[in-house]
Amino acid sequence: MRTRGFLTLALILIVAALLRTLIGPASSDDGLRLAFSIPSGEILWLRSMSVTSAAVVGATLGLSGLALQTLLRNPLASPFVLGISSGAGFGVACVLVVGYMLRTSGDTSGGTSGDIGALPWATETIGAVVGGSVALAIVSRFGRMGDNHNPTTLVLAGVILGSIFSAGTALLEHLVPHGLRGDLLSWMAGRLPEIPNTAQLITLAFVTLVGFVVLVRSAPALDVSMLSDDEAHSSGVDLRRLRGTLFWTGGVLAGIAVAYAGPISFIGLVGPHLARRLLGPHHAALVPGAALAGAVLLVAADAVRQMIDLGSGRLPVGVLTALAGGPAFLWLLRRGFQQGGHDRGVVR
Amino acid sequence: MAPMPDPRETPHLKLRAASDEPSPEMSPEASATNSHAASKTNARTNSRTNSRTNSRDVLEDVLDDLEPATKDASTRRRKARVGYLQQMIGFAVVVGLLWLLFGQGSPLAKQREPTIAPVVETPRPWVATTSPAISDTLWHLGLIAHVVGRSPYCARVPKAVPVIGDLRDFDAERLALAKPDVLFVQPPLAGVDPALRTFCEKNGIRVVEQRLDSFAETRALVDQIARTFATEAKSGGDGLAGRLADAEKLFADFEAATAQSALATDPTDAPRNTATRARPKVLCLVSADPFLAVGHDNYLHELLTAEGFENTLDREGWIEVAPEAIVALNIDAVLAIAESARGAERMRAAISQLPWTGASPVSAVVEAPQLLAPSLMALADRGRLRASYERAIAESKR
Repeated sequence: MRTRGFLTLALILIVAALLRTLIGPASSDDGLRLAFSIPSGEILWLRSMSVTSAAVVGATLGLSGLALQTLLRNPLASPFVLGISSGAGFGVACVLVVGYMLRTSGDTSGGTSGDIGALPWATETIGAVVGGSVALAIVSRFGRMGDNHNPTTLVLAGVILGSIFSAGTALLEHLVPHGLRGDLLSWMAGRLPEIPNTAQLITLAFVTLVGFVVLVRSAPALDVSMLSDDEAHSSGVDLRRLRGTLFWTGGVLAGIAVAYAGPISFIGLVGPHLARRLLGPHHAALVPGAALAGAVLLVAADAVRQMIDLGSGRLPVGVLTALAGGPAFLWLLRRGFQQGGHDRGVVR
Repeated sequence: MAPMPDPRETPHLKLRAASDEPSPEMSPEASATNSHAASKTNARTNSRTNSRTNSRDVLEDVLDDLEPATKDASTRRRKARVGYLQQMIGFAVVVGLLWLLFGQGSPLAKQREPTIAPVVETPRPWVATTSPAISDTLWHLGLIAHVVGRSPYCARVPKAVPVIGDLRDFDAERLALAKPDVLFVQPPLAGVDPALRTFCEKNGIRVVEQRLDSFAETRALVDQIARTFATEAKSGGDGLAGRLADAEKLFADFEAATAQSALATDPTDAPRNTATRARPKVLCLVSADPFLAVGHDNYLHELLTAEGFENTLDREGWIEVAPEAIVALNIDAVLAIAESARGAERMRAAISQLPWTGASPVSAVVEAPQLLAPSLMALADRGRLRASYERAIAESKR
């Protein structure tokens, strides 16, 4: 089952990556048209970078979603649903707005120097990680009833927290010049840069790899942690330490993905479920599976959005994942309640 | 006594033995229920076989017991298959609808105007921009034909010109294929991405970034455009040279008007609602739902000053004001700038519903989307603000 599942995921990933590489606006003598084309040179490089960005961000979100679902024993947990993406987004918005104000306040050119200089990318990453971790800490605190997390309370707390952080981001928009207000809105729709900041992409890939190794090494403990606390303790698992590891892994991975690509919804929710369906519930297979499934979903979404142009350019990737992932979330929710799966911690 | 035949050796019980194993198509819940039913039946079967001697009766009993469970399992399997089939059909329908709406070669897509434009007829130099204010300025200078890439919000650029993204999210591939000589950007909050700058350098695209928060910056943009097109302003000159000279005159007039307005007095004892006051105190709204007013330190404040108004809000930026706060202001007029005719109607309705105490100030709503971006067009049309105010005063006197 596992081999077949991995092969299926790998095959879909290859097909999606090929599609993304072949779809794009093609140049011809009478102009530019969106079509299948075999790219070469610079265009091939751009499309490969887009595939790489999508694969790495998707894997990061998949791993983050899995860590959160295991931490909270809640199949509905994901960075977006728990408000972590909104928290990370708010962190980035704070950095952007404060950075802009600091840089323009020292302008002595009378406003005519067009170049305000670029904000170091690391500041955005730090803002996102801090914002995401704060959101996770708050939602974890409010979702706790006694010693356990109540799944429904957690999701509700996440939704409310997400709304608060989104409102905070909207509030920050009021502080920037009118012409730049669309900037934060555009950022909130998610993006997959074809011209990535290499240092940022490498950092993202490295952190994802570290998160992957941490989760793979903890796989047996993660399996046990899905049982009750007493059973997990009797099996010799240090639950407190494990939860700390999952907390930081989930928060940091979600934050760094948001810093790179903006808040892309539902990949962290649907990825682990897709992996669970294909590979079963054991974390030794589920960890690489969730990463692979996240990558598959985002690369496929990136390929599909190239084909959708409503006259205002290609569709933002976050809009597409939300349009596809929202119904998937509702389906999971309905299925979970029908089967009582939310009580068992697993929705199959 | 004849030995009891092993019930599992009978054909019917072989069926039961097989159904004990979870089927690959069967859901875990279905297989669990089935195996539970099977074990219960086995237990009952064993007890009956001890008490009865007629193996035929035993087998008939077992068969009777088995039948519902077997039927139940097969029904579940059939339902699962139907469910799977339904899911596949649903997926196919969604994919088909998506293709019909957006796909290449679909009948509906063919009817839509192509969104990526031919560029062969475009005169050099080719420019791309991600800012509506910049594209408005290019349009005013008669350079819109040079634009080969735009943002989704550049209303004056033909729809056929490809969208290369907005402030933050560039479509690098379309940018590379559009091959502009110059990319004009209004830098986003994070500044222009160094990776994008490197990409443009590598592809021979010159990046011109210009903040546009004031008309001094609009003037700097016009200078950049003149340099890009290697043209100098020339009064009475043909084409771009003449239009650049006209732009120079616009800036000079604007500066003169601003200086004159600053010298004007503000007699506080003058009666309200009259044009006799040198600098009428106004509240300038750009939205009525909610009421969003123009504060200081932006290009619209500069326009108000140049047109001889005194902006009543002494705070910086763009300020959301409550209706109570508006009626509490001691103002001569409410000036509102709407993006469309419908927006203007809404603004008029919202302003008329304000609970003024005593005499309400004059209200003038002008439909002028060009005033909502710091471009040359805004500068050229700034007189509409004053004209609208004068008209409102005249109507109020009637």
